Parts: sequence; structure tokens; C-alpha cells
Amino acid sequence: MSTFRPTDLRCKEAVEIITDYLEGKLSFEDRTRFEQHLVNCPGCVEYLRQIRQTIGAVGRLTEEQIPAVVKEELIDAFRHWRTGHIK
Amino acid sequence: MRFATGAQGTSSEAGRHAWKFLAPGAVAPFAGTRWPTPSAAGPGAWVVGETEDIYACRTEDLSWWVDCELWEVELAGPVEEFPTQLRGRAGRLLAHVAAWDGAALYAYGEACAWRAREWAVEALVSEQLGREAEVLRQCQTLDELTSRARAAEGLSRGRNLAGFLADTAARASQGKAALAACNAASAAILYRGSPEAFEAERRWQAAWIAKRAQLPAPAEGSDAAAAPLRP
Repeated sequence: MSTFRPTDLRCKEAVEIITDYLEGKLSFEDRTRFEQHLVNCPGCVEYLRQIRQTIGAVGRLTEEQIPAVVKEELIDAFRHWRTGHIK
Repeated sequence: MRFATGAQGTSSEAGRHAWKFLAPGAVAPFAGTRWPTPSAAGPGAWVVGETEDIYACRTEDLSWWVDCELWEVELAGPVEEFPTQLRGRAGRLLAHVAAWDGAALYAYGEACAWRAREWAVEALVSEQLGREAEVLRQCQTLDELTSRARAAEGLSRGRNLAGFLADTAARASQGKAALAACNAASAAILYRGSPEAFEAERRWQAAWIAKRAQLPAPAEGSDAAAAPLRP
């Protein structure tokens, strides 16, 4: 196994695998590549922190806690997203 | 991560001592969790990863994971060795390395920039670009080095190394030591003409960190002590 260089992974790719990283689904090699990227990229570290915060906040939110208006807006947004017509 | 008390896996005597960089406040830089710190009563509590194992460095791995705080740690459970790190089932903090702090981290970035300067100067001289080389040699600050190296940047090997130098010095000046070190290691490939130079430069950098942090020298030989660290 060789070592990794931060240029092996670009921010766009790093962002795409963040969820797998958080869920512990990355292989050891990919995890190391990802974390090597983080060492050299404060922007991606901040993005990772925001994703963690979002998961932490949304993970505690029950359906009953969402105001009816917001729920309607969300459903509407998803409906348009599925049909490709984003408002 | 979860924290446990008492013995974990193997006994303390059987644990593997290693090093671990953390963000200020003993915070894991990626997980964002705070490690239990040692007290007068003894080492910090054992930390057991819930979805991941615990990672730490040998001395020669330090340059790959640099951050503001450095701790001596103990890894427990079967400890596996990888090219840039060790992996254990659990870990705990044994002692804070007081000689490594934010100032040391900044100085590390600086050291990488001055080293990259030596390579650019040498390459420019070999291309009969003595005037450009002398301008870089006279630089006393990172900002000076950044702007003058940027002005010397171009397509030849020497001028390309000046470009790497400008990037390295700029990152070091901004306090982005990890990125400065990575740039310098990339410049080493061009300077030495070999892809293996990247890893060799990482070893030099690890030796520099170990020396500054007053740790035992890395297992592999290094010329860190002999290399120029300041203008």
C-alpha cells in the first residue's frame, strides 16, 4: 500500500463521499485519502462540521415538530425536484 | 466515540505508545469530539470508536497529520501498522507535548518554505538565472518570498520551482502549515526528479516536527537537523 497525496482527491470528490465517511462505509484506503484531504483543506473540514451539525439537528426532529406550512413547502419542493422543475 | 474507564483490551504495559495530533482543546480534528485529557490521577479515559477504530502516528508519520496540539497516546487492542498511521481498537491520552503548539505549527510551515527556497535558488542558478536566484536568496520574510517567487515563476524547472515556492510561502504566511508542507513535498518531486521524493520530504518534515516537539528522532534516518530552517 502506498501513501496518499492530497491532490489524489479533489474537493468535489471529497464532498461526494462525506456521507459514506460519516457512516463508516469507506474502505480504509478511501478513508485515509479523505482524511489526508481534510488535513490540507480547511474548507472541507468546515463543510464536514456543517454536515454533522445538520445531521445532529435533523436527526432529532420528528414529523410532528415540523410546522404545517414548512411541511407543505418541503413536499412541494421534493415534488418539483422529482419532476425536474425546481421552483 | 465513546469513553470507557479502566483497562481496555490489553494491559497498559502491553499498549503501544504513539503520537496523536488534535485541534485546540484536545478535539479530534475530523470527528469534532473532545478527548478526555490526563489528570494528576493518571491518563485520560480510554476512547473506543463506535464506527471507526482509533488512529495515531509513529514519529515518522507526524508530517501527514499535523495540527495544533500533539499528544502522547496509548493504543490498545491489536495495533496494525499502515504507511502513514497506526490503528488500534482503543486509545487514551497519556501526556500533552508542551513543546508543540500553534507557534511551532507556524514555524513548521515557515521551515518548509525556506527549504523550498533553497531548491528554487539552486535550480535558478543552474539555469543561469542568477539574478532571480539572488532576489529570492535575499528575502527575509514570507511575504517577501511569496511576491518575489511569484514574480520569478515561469515554465523552466527553476521558474516552476519558484512557483511552488510562492505557493508554499503564501500558505505558510497564512498559517496553513499543513498545506505549505504538502506544497513543499510536491516541489521536492520536481527538484529531485523522482516521485519518491514526496515521501522522502514527508520524512524530513516528520523529523523536523519531532525535533521541534522534542520527541525521539524517527526510526529512519533524516537530514532535518542539517537543513536550513531560517534565512
